[in-house]
Amino acid sequence: MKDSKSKDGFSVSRRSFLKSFGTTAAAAATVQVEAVAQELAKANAEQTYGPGAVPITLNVNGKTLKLQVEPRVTLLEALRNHSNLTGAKEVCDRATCGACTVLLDGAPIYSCSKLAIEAQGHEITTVEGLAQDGELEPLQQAFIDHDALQCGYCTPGMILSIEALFRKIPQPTRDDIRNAIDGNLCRCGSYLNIIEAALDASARRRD
Amino acid sequence: MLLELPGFEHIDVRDFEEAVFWLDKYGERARVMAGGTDLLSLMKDRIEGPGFRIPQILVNVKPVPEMNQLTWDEKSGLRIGAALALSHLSASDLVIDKYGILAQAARSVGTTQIRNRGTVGGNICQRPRCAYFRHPHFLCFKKGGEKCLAAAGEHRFYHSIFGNGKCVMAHPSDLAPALVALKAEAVVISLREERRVPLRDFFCGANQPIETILKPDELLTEIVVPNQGIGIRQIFLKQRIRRSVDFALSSVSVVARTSGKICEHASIVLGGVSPFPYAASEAEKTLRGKSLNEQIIAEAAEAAVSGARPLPMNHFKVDLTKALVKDALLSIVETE
Repeated sequence: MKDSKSKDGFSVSRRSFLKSFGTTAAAAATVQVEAVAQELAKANAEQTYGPGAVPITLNVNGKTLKLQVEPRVTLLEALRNHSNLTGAKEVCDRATCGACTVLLDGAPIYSCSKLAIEAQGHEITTVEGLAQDGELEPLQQAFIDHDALQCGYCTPGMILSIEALFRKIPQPTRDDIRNAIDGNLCRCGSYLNIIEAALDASARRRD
Repeated sequence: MLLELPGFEHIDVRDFEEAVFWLDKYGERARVMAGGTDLLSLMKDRIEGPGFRIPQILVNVKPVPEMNQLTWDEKSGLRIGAALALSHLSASDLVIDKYGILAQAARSVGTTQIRNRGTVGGNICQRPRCAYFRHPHFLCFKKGGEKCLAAAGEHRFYHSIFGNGKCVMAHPSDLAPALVALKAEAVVISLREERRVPLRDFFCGANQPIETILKPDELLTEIVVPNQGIGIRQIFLKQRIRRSVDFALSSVSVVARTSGKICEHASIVLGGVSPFPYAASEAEKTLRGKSLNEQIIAEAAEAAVSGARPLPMNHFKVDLTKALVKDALLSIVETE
């Protein structure tokens, strides 16, 4: 994806070629476009994927996942349907509800609206990556202690959004927490307990 | 309704030349992809219309370094790459310091997750938030149908009180009005030319099926915001149903140059109430050269909505907008 293989001076000639292009008469231009087309097609063969399945490599929870997916597969589908990581939930699938939240390089994103192919080269964290050696994170334990869920569908997303906040602000205020979960809907309305759990977890982390 | 994305070819481009080459080659079959928060949702619902087809090729411009830049110098002002994430814009000390309303507007967009992925260019070029447009089963004007279904339907929240025509959408962007108030310009390139368009001329109005002047082979590369100089006061206010997630019922962006209490010049641009960022020029005229007191502010707020032609069910937006303009101007006086 982020591959920047040198083209041995090729890109320089192409760049100057296209720069001079603007001043060229339109009639002559067509021939040039064809010539550039061939060059570019060659150069881009390695960067054009699909529509069929292509091999991709994801870094999820510190592990390398090698998958074979079409470019149209979202990160959420890749996690749930291709790698058995069902922590991120599919609910609205339209970047609205937050149930599919995962961390991409530490920042919460909606995995339903990110293509798996574009998630290569980034560090992905799902809720499965938080517990270490069977031991729950303080935040996860706090969710249980404070009854911060009812149906549980929003929980993985909520936990990851708050986890991302903790990494930025270890001792957040109530308002910081409210802002951090502004993109996570809880249809059971457990918000108050979720905020209590987050405050408790940040206190436990400090102690 | 859960629908998988349709199949497409995915191309990573490394520079502008590659990007415009592919856009030129594939035209309407291709679309520019950066954050994807809006585009992928539209594709899942198979939303298409004149000038906006379900793409078969996605040209990913995120890897182009210039698309993610954020630079400032005294002469050319602020240059914002169109693929810069909103969260980067609102977190930049430079932006907070010199272009406060951009940081405020970017921070008020959607949710944390949206701001981490959504881009500046995507926010400006996003499609209408009208439920008829977004629903796969309705054939509205923007999708090639004969008429706007919202005009005689549900239009309480996300539709216009100014500039209505064949479509009554309200432009959902928070950044666009703030950028128009700052006299920003859009830089648009194609294989054949580069053009700079003042952002206030970037939008087409209510009678076109698409909202911007971008042609299928063109790429919005950056937004250039001129140096505002000193003595500038600015504020962005947004009213929405919930304090997060929701789009603006109405927003106001004010950039004013004052000397003492006297207002030398004010740009007042409204969002969420018109199919394009709406410059409230009557209000701007009312304020020019006047001392900012409560009476003149009330007059300006009245003037801001003087051209309003609300729909049957969104009259409240007129009063709401008036109140927002008044609040914004009062807070500018208070920060003196």
